[in-house]
Amino acid sequence: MNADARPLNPRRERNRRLMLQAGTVLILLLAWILATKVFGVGPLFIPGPDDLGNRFVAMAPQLPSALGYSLVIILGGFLAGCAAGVLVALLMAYSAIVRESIEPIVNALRPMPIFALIPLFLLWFGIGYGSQIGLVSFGCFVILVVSTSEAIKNVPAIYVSAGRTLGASRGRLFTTIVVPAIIPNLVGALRVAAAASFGLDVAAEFIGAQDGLGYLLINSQAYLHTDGVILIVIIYTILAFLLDRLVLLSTKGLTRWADRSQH
Amino acid sequence: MSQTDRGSRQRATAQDRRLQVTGLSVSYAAKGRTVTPFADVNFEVADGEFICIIGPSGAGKSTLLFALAGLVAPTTGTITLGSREVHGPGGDRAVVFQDDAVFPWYTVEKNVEYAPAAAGWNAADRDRAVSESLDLVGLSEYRGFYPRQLSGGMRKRVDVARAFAGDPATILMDEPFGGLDTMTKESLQEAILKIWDSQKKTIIFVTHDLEEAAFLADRVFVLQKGGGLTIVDIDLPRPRTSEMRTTPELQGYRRLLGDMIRGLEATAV
Repeated sequence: MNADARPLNPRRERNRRLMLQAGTVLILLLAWILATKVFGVGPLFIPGPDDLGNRFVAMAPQLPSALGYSLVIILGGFLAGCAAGVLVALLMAYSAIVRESIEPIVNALRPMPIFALIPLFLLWFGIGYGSQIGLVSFGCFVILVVSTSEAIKNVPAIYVSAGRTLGASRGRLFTTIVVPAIIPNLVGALRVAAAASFGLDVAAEFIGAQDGLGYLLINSQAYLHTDGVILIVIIYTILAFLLDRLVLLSTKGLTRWADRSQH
Repeated sequence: MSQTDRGSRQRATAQDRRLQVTGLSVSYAAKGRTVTPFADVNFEVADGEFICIIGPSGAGKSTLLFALAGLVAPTTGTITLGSREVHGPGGDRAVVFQDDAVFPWYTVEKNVEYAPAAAGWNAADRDRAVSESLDLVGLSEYRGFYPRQLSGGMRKRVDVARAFAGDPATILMDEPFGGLDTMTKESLQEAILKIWDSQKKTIIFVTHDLEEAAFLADRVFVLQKGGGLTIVDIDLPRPRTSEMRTTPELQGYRRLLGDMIRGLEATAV
């Protein structure tokens, strides 16, 4: 049993940390207000809290539809890309023939800048959902396949040897050793893909969306509405945080054995 | 597999479980050269014997063990278990590795159940095998624990329990207690003797600890670098108790084995 040092009084320790963190946030807020209201930094560079509030009210009618549009791209791309990525990765894990034949392609995808593919996606899938979801899902797919094929290579040989000498068939080795061993990496890759799908969505909406958060972002930039840009960034950040929590929560049972914080 | 099947298999094994090695050598490539640590090894191990393998480093103790396990293929010679020649690993030859090989993603129970589940035993037989094996190593209360919650010595006990649970003919151990402190090591040695005594299984145990070899074995196989092996009978009474470790008889065997290894090292150089 690990004997991690525990503070003598956990509640006091927690309160101390909370105070420190609240203090940091307060100081930043204060600096923000000072910069915009006292030192006169213009709203084009740093809009004040009131500018953000006003912009939020002004944008509010457009937000539900924009949110819906972007979430379809993000979640659709994320789910499709990850599903395909996991499937290919598991096939690679199961069959050495699949792994060895796909490996050069995987190695070629690794350094490829996904955003450079935008013209091709436009050409193949046209302007709209097709190319946008396509871009997000392809980005997620690459992340999943690359990190999973890496994880499979890192499964300690001793576990496979142990399984073989305990009489496991090939199928059983796969389901009882290879898959469980790579699951923490899979979850890690899902989280990276979840975070990346928001950046991919922004890029995808630059491809010429008529709706969506990215579209609002481009619009705000065009009209020099810096407060609008910041607002969209905040919304993206909150969404990304929520999706990350969702991935963590839904995979919690799978990685309990590797969780070092629980005793 | 039903209970009666298991019982009859256990009864009819003396012949089935004799291990026969003839003209064995294993070559492998290391640093661009072909290495053949031992050549023309011949021996026979009867059902239920406790064998220790010792030898100078580089003599291929682990290689020999892995060949018996089927994890490496013989370059020359044959390995026969009962009437069947060994090709590849199988549940009849469980291995306890030097490094920690307990599956961290399974609880103690699921680890120990691994071989019975792979062999397709029914739930009742599996459960009984798990209970018996955990009982033997004194970990009955830890069924639901994950390996990370256990100490190194306890994980090694899980590993040993897992090896026995599938009712293999032979248990192969590769310096299993090498990384443990003396206290843990000695208690595990005594535990393994107790289990061996109650289970009547063949154990082949690689070690570099000469006292361990003399304390545990019926016979010690001393491997020669590049050559075959010399067999030393350990003529000490059973059951062996911790008091026997310091007796002149056991220490005499220890010195003899040491002299042999030093002699082998001198001739090998």
